[in-house]
Amino acid sequence: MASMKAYMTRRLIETIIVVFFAMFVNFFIINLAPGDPARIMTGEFGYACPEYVEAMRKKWGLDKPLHERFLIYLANVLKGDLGYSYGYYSPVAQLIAERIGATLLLMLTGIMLAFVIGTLIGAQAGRKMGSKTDMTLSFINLMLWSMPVFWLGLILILVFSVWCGFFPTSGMMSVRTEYHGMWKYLDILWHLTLPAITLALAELPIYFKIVRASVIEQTSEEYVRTFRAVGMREDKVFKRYVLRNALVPPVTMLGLHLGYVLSGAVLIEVVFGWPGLGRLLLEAVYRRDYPVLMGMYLVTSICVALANLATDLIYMILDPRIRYR
Amino acid sequence: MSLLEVRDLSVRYHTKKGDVKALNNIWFRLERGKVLGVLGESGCGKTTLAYSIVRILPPNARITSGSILFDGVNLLELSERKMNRVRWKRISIIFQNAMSALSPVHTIGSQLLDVIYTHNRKMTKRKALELIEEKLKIAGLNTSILKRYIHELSGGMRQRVLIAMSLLFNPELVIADEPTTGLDVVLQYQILKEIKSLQEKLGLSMMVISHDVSVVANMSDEVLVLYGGRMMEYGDAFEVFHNPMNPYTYLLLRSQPDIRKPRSKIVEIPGNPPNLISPPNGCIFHPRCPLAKDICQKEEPNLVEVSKNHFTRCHFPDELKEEAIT
Repeated sequence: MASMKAYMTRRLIETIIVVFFAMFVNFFIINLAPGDPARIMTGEFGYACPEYVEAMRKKWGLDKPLHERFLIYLANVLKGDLGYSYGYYSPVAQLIAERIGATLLLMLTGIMLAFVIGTLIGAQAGRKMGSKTDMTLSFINLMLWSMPVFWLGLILILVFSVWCGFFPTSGMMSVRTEYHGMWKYLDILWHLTLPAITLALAELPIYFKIVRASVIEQTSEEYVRTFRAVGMREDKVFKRYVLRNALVPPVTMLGLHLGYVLSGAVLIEVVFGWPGLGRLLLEAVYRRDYPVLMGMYLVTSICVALANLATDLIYMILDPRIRYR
Repeated sequence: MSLLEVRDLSVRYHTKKGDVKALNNIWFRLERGKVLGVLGESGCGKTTLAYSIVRILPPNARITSGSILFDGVNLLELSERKMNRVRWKRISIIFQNAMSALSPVHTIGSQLLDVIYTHNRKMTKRKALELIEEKLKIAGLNTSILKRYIHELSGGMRQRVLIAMSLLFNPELVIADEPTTGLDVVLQYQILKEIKSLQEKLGLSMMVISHDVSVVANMSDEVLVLYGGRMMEYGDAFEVFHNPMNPYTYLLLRSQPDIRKPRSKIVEIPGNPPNLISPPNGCIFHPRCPLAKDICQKEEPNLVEVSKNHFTRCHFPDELKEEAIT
C-alpha cells in the first residue's frame, strides 16, 4: 500500500504539470488564431475610430507583449481569478460556475446512461454472437452511430415534444411557473429527459461495440472452459467471470469520455437550449472572448487530467495485473 | 463395472473448410484406482477426448457416435443440469497452462470458493476455507496464496493451485491434461512425482494426457496411443512400451533419448500430422511410416488384439521386430 501512496503522489504531481502545460499551449495557440478582440469589441467591420480601438486594447491589457500577458494570466489563475469576460462583462469564474452544474448534470446522466445501456446490450450481443439478437442489435447500433447527434435531437424533439407533447422543447426549467422543493427537481428531470436520452443514444454505440468485441474475446478464454468443467452454470460463468474480465476496455473508454464532460455537449446544448458550458464556449469563440475561452480550456484540461487519473486508478482495481510503478 | 468405459466415440469439428474428424471410434476402459495414459502428438485428439468426457467441447464440435459410461451411466445422455453435478464433483481436470486456466482478475481464493459454492451452496465460508486449506496442503501450498492473483505465482505454484482445485471434492476420476507442459524440466519432474504420489495415496483413478512418452510411461497402468484421431495402439503400459506393436508407437519411443541406456540415435518421425478434414486413404499413418507397403495406402487396418489386452492398428505388427527402423 505504501507503493500505492507513492504512486498516487507521483500521478498527482504529473497531473498538475500536465494542466500547467496545457494552459501554456492554450494561451499561445489562442493568440495565434486570427481575429483581434479589441476590434470585435469595438465593432467588427473596422468602422470604429482607431483611438477607440487603441483605448480598448489598453484597457484590457492587450497591448502588452504575449509572454507578459501569460505571466499575468498565470498569476491570476493561481489566485483563483480566471479573468473578466470582454463579452459578458462579468468574471469568467462566475460565468463558468453558473453553468457548470447544468452541463455536469446533462453530461453525467447521458454518459452514464450510454455506458450502462451500451455495456448491457453489447454484452448480450457478444454473448450470442451471430444470432438474430446480435444482428438486430448490431444493426440498430450502426444506425445510431451514423446519426448526427443534432439531427437525432431535433427528431426526438419533433416526435416527443411537438407531436406527442410529452416533454418540453427546450430549457432546463419551466419559465412560466416556479416550482419549489421536490417539484423543482422533478421539473428539471422532466426537462433533462430528452437531451440526456439524445446524448445517451449518440454515445452508446461506442460502448456497445467495445463491450461486444471484448465479450467475444473473453468467451474464448481458457478460464471459461475451466469453470464450465467445474460445473458452473453458463450464465453464472458469464456474469461472474466473462463480464468482469470484459469490463476493462469500456471503463477505459468511459474515462476518456468523462474527460470531455464539460465541453463535449455543445451541439446538444444548442439544440435543447440547455444553459450549460457548451453554449458559453460556442459564444466565446464567436466573440473572440479570450478570457472565457481560456477559462473553459483550463477547466477542460483539469477535467481531462483528473478523468485520466481516475481511469488509471479504476483500471488498477479492475485489472490487478496492472502494477503501480 | 469399470469406472469409465468409452465405446465407439467419434467427434467432429465443424469448420468452414469442412468437418474435422477429430476422434474416430475410440474405445477403452478404465478400472478404479488405475491410470490410463493417452499418448500422441499435438492435434491427435487427446484433449478432444478429455473434453468429450466432461462435455465441455466448443460449440462447433459434435459427438457423432458412441457412449461414455461413467460408473455405468452414459454421460452423453445426461441433461446439462445432471451433467453439472458430475462435473468436478466426480470428474475433475488438471488443466494445462495454469496461467490462463484461471481468471486473471479474480483472486485465487475467490475462484476456489466459487468452485465450492457451485456444488455446495450451503457450506459456510469457514468450512469452505478449511476445505481449501486442506487441499492446498496436499498440493504443497499454504493459504497465503488465497489473496493473490494467478499471475503473481510462479509456474510451479500455479500448477499446484490447479492440482488442489481438482481435488476439492475428492473426485472419482481426475483427468490430467498435459499437466506439466510449459514447466521447466526439473519442475516437470517434481510436479509429476507429486501427482503420482497423490494418485497412489488417494487411490485416484486418472487419465494422464501427454505428448511426452516419459510422462505417460512413468504414471500409467495402461496406454492408449492416438494418431490422427484414431487408436493406434492400446494395452498394458509395460507391454506397449517394451514390446510396441505399431510403427507409430515405436517411433514415438525412439524419438526420445534415454539417459539410462547407451547412446543411441534419436529417430525423427518424418512428415507432418495428417489433415483431418480429408485424411489419407488406407492406414492414416502410411505417409509417414517407414514400413508402409501397397496395402497400407489402400486399406485401413483394423485394431487387432495381438496378445492378451494388447491392441494395435497395423497390417504388419510382426515386422517391426525384424526390420530396423532408422
